[in-house]
Amino acid sequence: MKNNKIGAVLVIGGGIGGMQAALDLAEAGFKVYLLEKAPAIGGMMAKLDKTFPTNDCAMCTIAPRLTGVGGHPNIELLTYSELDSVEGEAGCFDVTIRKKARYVDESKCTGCGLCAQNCPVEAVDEYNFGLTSRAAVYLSYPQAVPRVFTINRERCLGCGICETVCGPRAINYTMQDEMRHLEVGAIVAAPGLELFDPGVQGEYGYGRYPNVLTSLEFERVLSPSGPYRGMVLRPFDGREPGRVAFIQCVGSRRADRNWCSAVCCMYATKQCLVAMEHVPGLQCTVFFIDFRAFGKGFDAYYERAQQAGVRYIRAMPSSIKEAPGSHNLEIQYAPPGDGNPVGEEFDLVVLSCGLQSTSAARDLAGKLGIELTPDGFCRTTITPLNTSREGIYVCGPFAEPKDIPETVIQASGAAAKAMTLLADVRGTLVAPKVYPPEIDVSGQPPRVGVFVCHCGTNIAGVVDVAAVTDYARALPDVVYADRNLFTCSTDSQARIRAAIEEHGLNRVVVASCTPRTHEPLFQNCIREAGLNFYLFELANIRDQCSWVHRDHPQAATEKAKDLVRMAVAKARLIEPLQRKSLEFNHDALVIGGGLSGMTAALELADQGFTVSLVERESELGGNMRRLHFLLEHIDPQGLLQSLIGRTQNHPNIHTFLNAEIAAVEGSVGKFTTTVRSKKCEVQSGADLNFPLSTLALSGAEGSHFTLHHGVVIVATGAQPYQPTEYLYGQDDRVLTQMEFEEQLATSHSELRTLNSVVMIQCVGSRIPERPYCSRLCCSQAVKNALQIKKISPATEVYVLYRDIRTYGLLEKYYRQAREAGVMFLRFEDDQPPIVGATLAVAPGSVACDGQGQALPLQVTVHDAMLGAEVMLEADRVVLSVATVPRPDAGELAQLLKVPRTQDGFFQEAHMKLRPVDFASEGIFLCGMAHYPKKAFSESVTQAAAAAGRAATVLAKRVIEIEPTISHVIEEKCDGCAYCVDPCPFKAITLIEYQTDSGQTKKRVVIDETACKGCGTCQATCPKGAVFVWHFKLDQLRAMTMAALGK
Amino acid sequence: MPGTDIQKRLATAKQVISDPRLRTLSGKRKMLIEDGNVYGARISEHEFDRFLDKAYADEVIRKVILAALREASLSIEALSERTGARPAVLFKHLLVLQQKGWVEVARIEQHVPLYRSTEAE
Repeated sequence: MKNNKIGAVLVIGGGIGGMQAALDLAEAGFKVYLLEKAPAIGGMMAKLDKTFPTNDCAMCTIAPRLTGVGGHPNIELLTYSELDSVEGEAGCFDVTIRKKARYVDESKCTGCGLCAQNCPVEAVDEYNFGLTSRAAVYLSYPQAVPRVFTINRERCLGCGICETVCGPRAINYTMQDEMRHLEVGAIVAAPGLELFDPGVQGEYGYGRYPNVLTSLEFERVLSPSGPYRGMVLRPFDGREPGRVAFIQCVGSRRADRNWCSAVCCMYATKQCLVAMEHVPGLQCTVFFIDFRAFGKGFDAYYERAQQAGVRYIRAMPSSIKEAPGSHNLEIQYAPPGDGNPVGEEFDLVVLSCGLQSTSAARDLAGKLGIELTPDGFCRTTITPLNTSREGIYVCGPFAEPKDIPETVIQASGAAAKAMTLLADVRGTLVAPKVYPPEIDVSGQPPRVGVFVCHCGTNIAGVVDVAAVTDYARALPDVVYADRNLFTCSTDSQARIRAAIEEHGLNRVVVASCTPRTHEPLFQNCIREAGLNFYLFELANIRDQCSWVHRDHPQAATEKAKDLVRMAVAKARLIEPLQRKSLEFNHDALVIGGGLSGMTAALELADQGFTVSLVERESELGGNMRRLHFLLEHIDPQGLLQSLIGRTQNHPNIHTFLNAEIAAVEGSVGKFTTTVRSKKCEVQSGADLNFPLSTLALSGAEGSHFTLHHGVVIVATGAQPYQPTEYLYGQDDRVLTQMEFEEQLATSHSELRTLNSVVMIQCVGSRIPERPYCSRLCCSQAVKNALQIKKISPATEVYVLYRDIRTYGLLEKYYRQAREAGVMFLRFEDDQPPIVGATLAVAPGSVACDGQGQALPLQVTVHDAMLGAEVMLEADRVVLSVATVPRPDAGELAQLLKVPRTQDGFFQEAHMKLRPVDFASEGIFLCGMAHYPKKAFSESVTQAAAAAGRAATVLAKRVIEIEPTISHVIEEKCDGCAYCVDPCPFKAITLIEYQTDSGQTKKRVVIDETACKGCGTCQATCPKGAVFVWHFKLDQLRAMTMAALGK
Repeated sequence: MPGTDIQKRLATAKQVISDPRLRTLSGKRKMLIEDGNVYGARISEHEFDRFLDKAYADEVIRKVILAALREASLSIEALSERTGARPAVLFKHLLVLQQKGWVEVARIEQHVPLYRSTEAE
């Protein structure tokens, strides 16, 4: 590798994966070039209506990312551009980019849209898959970033009308493709996915029958910005359907396309739920093979859909026929258990098409010089983030079909890999964001602008937005009010900035979604117009109004007016505030020394950060110590030993074994953690400031020591459920998969004597007490079934299951297992198998025949496919047990003040877009503490992602403190200390001080880094001596009075 | 009454030929066919006329739809009876008219959307 590394990274693909990688890298001090072949970034997610399993609006979720990327000073967007060639090597690539001619000058186009309004051509709207048309000069979608029009040269007549109407003279017909050379140190490939073309699979009539749609077309149908404006209609006659059928696995799980697309079961369920919201009384039917709800919260969502009336039929339709006249569709299928084919009529059919890598991505692989698998996905090394070429990393469905959070995780992981490669040139090519000078609003009377958001139909479908806007316009001090389809889109933000200037606004109220996701975006928007960040107020008329009062539109409109009135009342009193910068601690604490913890620690340590790794057990390795095989034919124990070796010998990692977290104080940049050593080598009471070598190493059981660090990564893992079912613990021949794997690794000769092994899935999973899917057990069973077949081909292996959930590329191993003779028998949820000894025997003993041979166990199962009872003899019964949270996870959650899910796993900040962050800044999450993970690859990926996210914090020189925190008015505080104990963040301390006259007095002081501005102190103070900036009592009083209509 | 019908059709034709977009485009005929378009390429007479014919035909049916919707809120089926156009075709035009903001869905009755002209208000 060359010494002259470049501190810049090329990210290829502007979808959610590419955007995440770009943002992480840019935040961590690298210059990023974000290459996108389409005219705008956003990728597939920008086409989606809502997302499972929360039903959050995809556009609302992605909009802050779009504008974040578009406005980031360290990210340069190269849209409508393609990679031409790559030379050089890791650390220093020479890249050539072809910037295609848009025929519209990016620097001049204001996105006003006059060109499209006057264009005489009506061309296919590719964004809406041809369900409607658009002009030859177009913007891909309303919220497009950058908001620059593009001429579709193939459809353009060349009449020249657009040039004549373009005010800023942005149209340029002489534009040519341009080549651009870049130097980058690393490349992240995130070219995304496409859907299988169902026209190839003729039996479903796609392309012939107008009322057969692909799932992506239907997604656009459901979208408020889609061709039908969110109304569910049939393309043939524009009528609302009454019966919609969804057919799963179209283009997936076939011999020639040997993978599961991993998202279709869930997206079909989501589409059913959303469509049923749009069309009351709609009947939705899903035809499927196995229902693969393997992710966090997925099974609960599936359950919800069933309760809402979605009909799931476990059968694959053989054909679809169109009824002449009505153009309804008759689906032929064989219902389960019966087998006799039946026909059923539907008004609309949606084909749940599988995912595949795009042809453009396969071309890209050639140019990048990276290898593909025979299925056309990107081949990765042992680490699922590395491609076959050093310095080029991969994320998203290009590597394997996956959903949004998995893509985001992999993107942060790929970014982390690039950060590690380029750690020593971090910060060499970046510049801070420059804002215009701040407008001094002191002494000015309030001039409030109110912007009411339609949020597509999310708000406008329930609330009368026009009425709310008119109402806002008449409120005191409101000088301007407007409404937008999506207030968060680039053009709407431009309108807000223009209104600030034109109307001299000095306070801005946006009535829209939630400050949780959108406040920073709007604050940034008004700051760009010169207003202080904090002269902004958000009225939540979506989450707290339109979503919860869907059935009461009139009352919701009145409530929205109330909320706007309250926000305006407060806005009239808000003041400019300044953010503070503080020095902070750049070390990390990783809790948990399993695969995830070690990987995260190494990734950070390789980037030059000092890491403390705390492990409760006496050795590193966690669950991986019991892993002997991987489906990918990698030796896990060899990997583990090298990981442990690297961790223990790394100069930047300090490992503490037999140690547990006793207390955590402080906040991002300034954590202090007390570690309790069970048998530790560090002197009790030691306050560890690195380098450690200066410390005496000794110690006794129960001693404590203290660590100082800037971030925390939680990697505490999970554990297998201890079963009580199926004679486990009573008969030695009943064992868990992990125990069986141990035998597979050690006792070959004994295993060869086995006639029959029966595996039982979902032991302890997907039951009322533990309603989630444990995700890894299906592939674990397949792995061990293949292993025993390898050792002893004559042994009969049965897997008793409810759904086989070998998602993504795991599907091929499921097929391999069937081909190897493993028998898969499905049982219904309410008819679990019964395991019995052949004869009644005492617990712990084994029934024998006359010759002293052990009699096999007997397993009875009602085979749902055959519709009959099957009796199996088993020499071993292997239980695929649930993965459950650590029993002390709750304790750690309390110490860190982070939430957990109902199932007991740690709860990330946002299910889709922040899957490795906690809501509390500076705390990150990875591995099975988050949710069960596929052996090795998923844990490694998320661990790298957590390290990458942590590095975005640690790489900064200073940390910015939010000013919306508590403040003590010294002269009013008499030191009563009522506020000290109730503070949930331990941010308040009582101090003694000398007055000028020499008196000793008491008062409280606030730790600005620990305070979260919750306001508890303000509520407890009897003297009015403590307040929270931006939430002062007069501001809250004004809101309250406004709520009361006074 | 046939007389009113003819009058209506004539009014529609007048509207269509006075559409500024189509007039501008018609005015470009000579340039596009003889001199070459903005990219310097010439369009064949056949190609241009086919394009223009379709544009006029589309505009005619849209104006007919708009005229009908100004009088009453109608379903696609009812529009199909009045215009003789196929439902799928009408649906496409209604989508375009909705995009342009000239038409909106008034209400849905028994799964059937009824459209109205926004000028009707």
